[in-house]
Amino acid sequence: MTSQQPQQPQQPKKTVYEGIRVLDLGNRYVGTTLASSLMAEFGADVIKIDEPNLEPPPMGGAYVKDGVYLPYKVQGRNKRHITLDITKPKGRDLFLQLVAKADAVIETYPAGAMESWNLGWDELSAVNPGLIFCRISDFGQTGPYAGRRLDGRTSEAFAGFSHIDGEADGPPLHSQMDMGGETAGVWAATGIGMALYWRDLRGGTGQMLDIGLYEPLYRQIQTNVTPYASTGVADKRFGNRRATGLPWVDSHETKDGRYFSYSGATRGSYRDTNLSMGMHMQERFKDLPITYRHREEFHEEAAKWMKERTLAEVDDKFTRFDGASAPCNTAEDLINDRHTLYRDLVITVPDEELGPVRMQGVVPKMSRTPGKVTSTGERPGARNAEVYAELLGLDAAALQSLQSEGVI
Amino acid sequence: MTATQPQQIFEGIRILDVGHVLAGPMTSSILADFGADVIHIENPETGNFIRELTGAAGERTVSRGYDLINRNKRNITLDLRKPRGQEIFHKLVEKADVVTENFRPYVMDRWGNDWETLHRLNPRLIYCRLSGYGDTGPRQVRRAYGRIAEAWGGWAVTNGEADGPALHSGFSWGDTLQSIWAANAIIMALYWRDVQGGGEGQMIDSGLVEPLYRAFEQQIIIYDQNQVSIKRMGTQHEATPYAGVCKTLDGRYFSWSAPTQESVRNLLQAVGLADDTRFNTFDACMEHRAEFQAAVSAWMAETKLNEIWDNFEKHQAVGSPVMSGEDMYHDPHLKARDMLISVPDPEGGKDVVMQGIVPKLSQSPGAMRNACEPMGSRNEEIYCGLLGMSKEDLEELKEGGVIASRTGSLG
Repeated sequence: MTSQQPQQPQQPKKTVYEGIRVLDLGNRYVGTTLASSLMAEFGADVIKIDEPNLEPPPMGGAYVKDGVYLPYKVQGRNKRHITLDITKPKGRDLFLQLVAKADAVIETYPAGAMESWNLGWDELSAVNPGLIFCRISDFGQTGPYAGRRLDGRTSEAFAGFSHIDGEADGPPLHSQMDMGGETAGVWAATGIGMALYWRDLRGGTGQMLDIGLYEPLYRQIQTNVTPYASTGVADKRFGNRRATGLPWVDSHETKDGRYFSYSGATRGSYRDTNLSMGMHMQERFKDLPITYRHREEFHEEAAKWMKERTLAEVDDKFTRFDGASAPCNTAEDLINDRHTLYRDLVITVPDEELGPVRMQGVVPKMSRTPGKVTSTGERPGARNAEVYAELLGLDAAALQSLQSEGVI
Repeated sequence: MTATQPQQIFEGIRILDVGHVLAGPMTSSILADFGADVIHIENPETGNFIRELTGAAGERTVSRGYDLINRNKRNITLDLRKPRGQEIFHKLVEKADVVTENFRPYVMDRWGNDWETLHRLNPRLIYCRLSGYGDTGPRQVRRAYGRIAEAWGGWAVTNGEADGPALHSGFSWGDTLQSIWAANAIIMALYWRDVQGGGEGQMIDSGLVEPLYRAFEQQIIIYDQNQVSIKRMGTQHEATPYAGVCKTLDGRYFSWSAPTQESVRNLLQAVGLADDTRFNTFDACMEHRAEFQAAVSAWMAETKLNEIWDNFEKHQAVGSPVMSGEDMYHDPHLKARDMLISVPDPEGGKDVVMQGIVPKLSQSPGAMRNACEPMGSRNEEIYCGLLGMSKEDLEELKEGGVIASRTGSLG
C-alpha cells in the first residue's frame, strides 16, 4: 500500500486487516509479541522474523515440555515464521525487499540498534513511504535512560506497579505474568491501528511509533503521579485492602483453602456485600462513614465468615445477593469453567509439535468481523520456503545458498 | 501539526461515552487523546461517582486521577432513565460514530438502547459494550469491578508471597487493560467500516474479566500440557532463577531480570557472579536458586541504588529501580519523554500533573486539549449547538431533571 487514498473495495473485506502485512522483528520471548498476534487474529498477514540460531529462552519448569517452550505457542499464534539475519548485508537487502511489500514493521531492539545496521526510519521509509514503523524499546528512543535495558517484568518496577504491589510491611512484588510486555503489546497494536487509519482514510503518510516498554503500564496507573503532585503523598502497597481504607474491599481464605475476593466500591455494591455476608443488620457497618470507623472489625468478621464456609458456599451467597465478587481462579478452574467454555474463551488448536493444545480464545467479540485463531506459534523459519517464494520469488536453490551463508 | 499535514487521526469521529467508574471513560479517553470528539454523558443526579471518591482524610486524591481518564472530553449531563432523556440520546446516536458503555448487559437494553435499536437508528454506529463477564454466558449478569477481573481471570493467585494470600494489585489493572483492549477494537471496527469497505458499524462485546485472562498468555497452555496451575512466588519468577527484587544499601528496591540467554550473561557480569559454576548455567542455577538469590541480595544490600543501576547499564543487564509516585514525579527521563505533563485545572485549582500521551506517533501525534471539566459544562454547546435546541428547551430539560439538577463540580 502507498500513502494515496485507497479505492473503496466493491465488496467489504472479510476481516479487519485483510491485505495488511506486518513484519515482526520483535523478541519472540517477551509479551510485546502480542501486538502482532492481535493483528493476526483480526486478519493481518504477520510474518515473524527470527534471527537464525535463535537461542531458547532461559525458562524451565512447567513452562517447558519436551524441550518446547509453551508460552510461545500462544504468543506466536497466526503468524508465519521465517528466519533472517538483518545485520548481514544480504539479509539487510532481503529485509528491505520485504519492507517494500509491508504495511508495518515492529521491532524491540535497544534504541538505536536498527540505525546501527542502517535500517533506521530514513532507510525504511525510503523504500516504503507508507510504512508504519513501530518501535518498542526499553525506555523509548530518546531521553537520558535510552541506553539502559528493561524487560516486561522490570518495566513494571519503573512504571510504578511494583511499589504498590505487596503487603504493607513486605517488599515490592511482581506477579507471574509479563504485565509490562503484554500491556505494551496491546498499546502497540492500537497505535498501529491508529496509524493505518490515518494513512488510509486521512491521506496521511507512514510514520514511526516510539514506545518505551514501561510507558503503556505507566499510562494505565492513574493513582501514582497525579495524587502525588496534588497532595505530596505517594501511594504505597497495602496488601489486599485499599489504601484509602474503603472497608468493603478485601480477599480472604475459605474453609477449603481457596481465596475469594469481594469489591464493594460503590453504594449499591457495598450494600450487597453486607447482604451477602449477613452483616446488613449491624449498625456499625451501615454506611461508609460509620463502617470506616469500624473497618478493622469489618475485615475480621468477613475473614471469619469466609473461613467457616467453602468457596462454593461463599460464591453461592454472593451470587444470591449480587455482591461484586469472584473466586480467585487458577488455570485449572478456568479451563473447566462453564462461563469460559460458553464464551469460547478456551479453544483447542492443532500444533505440529504437541498435537491439539488448549489456549485462550479471541478477545473481544466483534459481531461483524470476529477474530479467529488458525495456527499456534511455529518453530523459527517454519515457513521460509513459502514466504520467500511467495513474496520475493526465491526458489529452493536460492534459499539453500542463503542458508549456507547463515543469512536464513 | 504543520500546515501540510492532514488532520488529527480521529478528527470528526464522535464518541458518546456513557461510561461510569473507570473502564468506559478510560476507553474513550485514549481515542480523545488522538482527536476524537468525545461527549461524556453523566447522570445528572450523581455524576460519575469517582468524582466524589476521596482519600481517608477526605482529600481529593483518587478523584484527581479522574482527570486522566476524562481528559480531552466534552462533558454533558443526561438522564437516560427518563423517556425524554432516551429520546435525546437517540438523537445524539444518529450523529455519532461510536457509543461506549460499561454497565451490566441488561442496563442499556432496559433504557431502550439495545443493539438492534441503535443499529436501526444509525447503521454506521459502532457500539462498544463493556460488561463484567460479557454479553452472554452463565455469569453475564454478575457485577464486576477491576479486582474481580484480577481474581476471576487467573491473575491474583499468581501475585503475592508464596506463603501468603492471593494478592490484588494496587491499581485498576483489570479495568484499564479492558480499556486499551476496547480502544483497539473500536479502531479496528472504524478501519473496517471506513477503509475496508465494510460501510456499517458493529457491536463489540467485551467482558471486564476477559482481557486480563487473555493477556496472561501462558496460563491455560501450561495447565493443558503439564497439568499445573501457575503459583505466586513473591519477588521471584517460577520459570527462572534469574529474576528478583532486592533492597539496596540506601533503602530502595531494585528489580532485575533476564529474559534471554544474552541477558543472563549480562546479569551475571553485572552482579559479579559470571564465573560461579553454581549459577552460570540455567540448570545449575535452578538447583541453587536460593543461594543465587541470596548472593544477589547480599551484593545489592551493600551497594547504592544508583551504583547498581549504572553497573547494570555498563553490562547492558536488565533492571530498574522500584519507582513510587514521588520517584516518578521527580524523574528526569519521564520529563524528557513528556510522560509528565502539567495541565490547567478547569475548576480553577492548581495545575493537574498527569501522564502524557501514549503512544508517540511521529506524524499524527496526540494532543492535550483539557483536563476533566465540571459535570455538564458543555450542555449548552451540545444541546443547542449540535442538536439545535433553544435556550427555552434547555430550561425545560433542566426543570424536568433530564439534563441537570445541578451543574458544576461535585469535588
